[in-house]
Amino acid sequence: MRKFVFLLLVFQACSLPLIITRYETLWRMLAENKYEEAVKYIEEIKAREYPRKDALLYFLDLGIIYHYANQPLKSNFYFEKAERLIEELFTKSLSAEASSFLLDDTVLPYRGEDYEDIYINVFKALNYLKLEKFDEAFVEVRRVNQKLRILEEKYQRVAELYNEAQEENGVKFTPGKNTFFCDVLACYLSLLIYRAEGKFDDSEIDRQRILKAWRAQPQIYPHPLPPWIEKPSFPPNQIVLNIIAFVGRAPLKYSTVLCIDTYEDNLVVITSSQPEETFYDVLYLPVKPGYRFKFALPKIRPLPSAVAKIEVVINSQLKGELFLLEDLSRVAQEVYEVKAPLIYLKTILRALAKGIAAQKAEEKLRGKKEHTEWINLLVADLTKAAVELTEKADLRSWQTLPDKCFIGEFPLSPGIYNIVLKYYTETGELLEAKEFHQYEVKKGKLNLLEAISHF
Amino acid sequence: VIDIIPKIIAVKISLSIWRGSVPHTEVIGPNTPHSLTLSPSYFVKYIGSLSIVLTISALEIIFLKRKEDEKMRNFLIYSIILFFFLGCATREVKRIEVESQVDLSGRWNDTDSRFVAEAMTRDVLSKRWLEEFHEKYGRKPVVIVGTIRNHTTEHINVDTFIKDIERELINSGKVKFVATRQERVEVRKERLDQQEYASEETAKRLAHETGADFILQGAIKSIEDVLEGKRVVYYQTDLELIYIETNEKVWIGSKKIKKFIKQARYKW
Repeated sequence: MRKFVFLLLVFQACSLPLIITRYETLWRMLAENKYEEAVKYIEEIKAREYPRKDALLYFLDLGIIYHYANQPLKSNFYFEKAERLIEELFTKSLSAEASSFLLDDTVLPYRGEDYEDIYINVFKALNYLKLEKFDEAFVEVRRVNQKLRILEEKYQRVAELYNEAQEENGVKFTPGKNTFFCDVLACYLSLLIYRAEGKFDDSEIDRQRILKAWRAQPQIYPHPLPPWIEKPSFPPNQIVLNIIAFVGRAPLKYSTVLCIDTYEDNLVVITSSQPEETFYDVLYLPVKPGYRFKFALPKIRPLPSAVAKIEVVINSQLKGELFLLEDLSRVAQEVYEVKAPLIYLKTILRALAKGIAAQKAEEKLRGKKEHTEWINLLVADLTKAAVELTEKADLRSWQTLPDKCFIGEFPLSPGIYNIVLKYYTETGELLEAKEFHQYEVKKGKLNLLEAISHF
Repeated sequence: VIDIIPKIIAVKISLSIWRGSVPHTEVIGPNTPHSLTLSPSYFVKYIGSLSIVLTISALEIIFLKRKEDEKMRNFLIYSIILFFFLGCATREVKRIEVESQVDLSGRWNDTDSRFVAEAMTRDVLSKRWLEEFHEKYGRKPVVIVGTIRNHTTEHINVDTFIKDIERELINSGKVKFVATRQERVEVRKERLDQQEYASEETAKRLAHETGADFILQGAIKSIEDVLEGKRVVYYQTDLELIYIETNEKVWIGSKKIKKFIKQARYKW
């Protein structure tokens, strides 16, 4: 039986996520704008690298790649599946939860981060705008607002339930403070639709909402507001070319290794095991002194885009530049922080339970006096190593999401235009130029041009 | 830990087999109103539960490899294989009445659409405007359904709802209907085409369309409250009948539906 457990743990330890290799190839394809190839690649590796528990990532990746490939119908097909799956996964499998407590969170189906759930609706709204289905796009904008409304409440309730259950142990859990209550990008899409429908009062209400959200959430929107949102520079019925440009890659989850040391009087000290990181936390848990275990915690960090400036050239004339509207990575970090204390506490409790159990098993094996003593010692050492290896962080995330969103508005007369977007680095180096030939600007229509750069 | 891991793995294996056998919603053909695969029968559930227990014991015995358990081990392996085959043959399809009420996800569905359309039609046909129009013009009023907007947080097929209303109104025999704006585009194209290619006797005349007297407009709105897998959705459908010549609103109707949807927090 012990050999079986050992094999199980070793198997789990060896099945480290292949996420990095999968996304390296995907990113390369996306950078070269080879979207069809990227879709084919995902389908090819589906069986191997998107197991059933990662079905959500499969839908999200396909959804966004079809969006980049300007195939809004297919994109929404997969986004719809992703959204429904998140709803279904609200019902947790007790057996999977039990497995995750003994192994780690990677054995659970990926339920998606809250920011990912929100951006599904943003991209669905953009898809509906491409299809000129304004009512449908509005449904998505409303869903973004609805999800944001329940975000804080969601973890507050988890905290209450957890604290009730843990009352005897005396460990209190407090979720992170949610500071994201209004998504400016979703508001901007709503503003554009109202304006295109000629409902200028409603579009003005949305402009005011953006201003309010910008001022109330400086940690998410620290950059300057696009000037025409602060003060409209043209009449609301003016025909404009609206440009939305997404750049870069989604934030990345990484693993940070921490150490648990238990002392007298139920003192549990958690420190960073990496010298370059300073982390210190103290908890009081009913655990015997003298234990020392390692565990890995997932954290999130942005992969800042190389794009610092986007110039817009219309019919060979420089017309201006785009302004940063939303830093998706910043939103992701802020929203993730609401849930982070829950992951932290869950990981500590699991690491302690697993570590103590493994230590007991090791003590038992070392104490045996049999002919096969050397096997027992080997199994004991390997079990201990495997336990540490299985305690790995869940680094799954929607990595094909972009990093930032820039916008621009250019008053134009109805007609056909050649539009070029030039992407520059901070040092002024031209990274890429995207050309849109024969783009028709029409009267009484939403003239929305969307561009993607994966730099 | 050592004792419980194989049990959990065994439960997982059994459940994945079991779950694989749980049917899902599937619409089979365009002419089939509803072909839903329903939840597994109690028999399948019973076999499933039994097999979980058997699998746990079997795995323990298989991995322990005790000689005295050899017969038992073989029996249990066959039981698992048998369950696997049983699990593969559990899809059940039933034809159900179009009128029957089936709520799966809790979202706006055909039942809501039909229910609201019937209630609104009853209301609009029972009001004074119809009588007054008859008295004044001595004919049935001509109605057109304009835009009914979706202001909810769900994707509602408004076209189905519009068709439900049109059908109810036409079948009442009290009003006449003309084609909607989208439908007219195609009809006009056809009429123009006839001027060129159809015989003189059969070609339909231009500029002889029936102008609508009234337009029906409105919106479906929703208010949603969500907490912990519980959802209360309140739908309100507001419709207005407007006399096209004078912009006079002759009828305003409202129909409300409230739904409570509960999703289990845990499953096996």
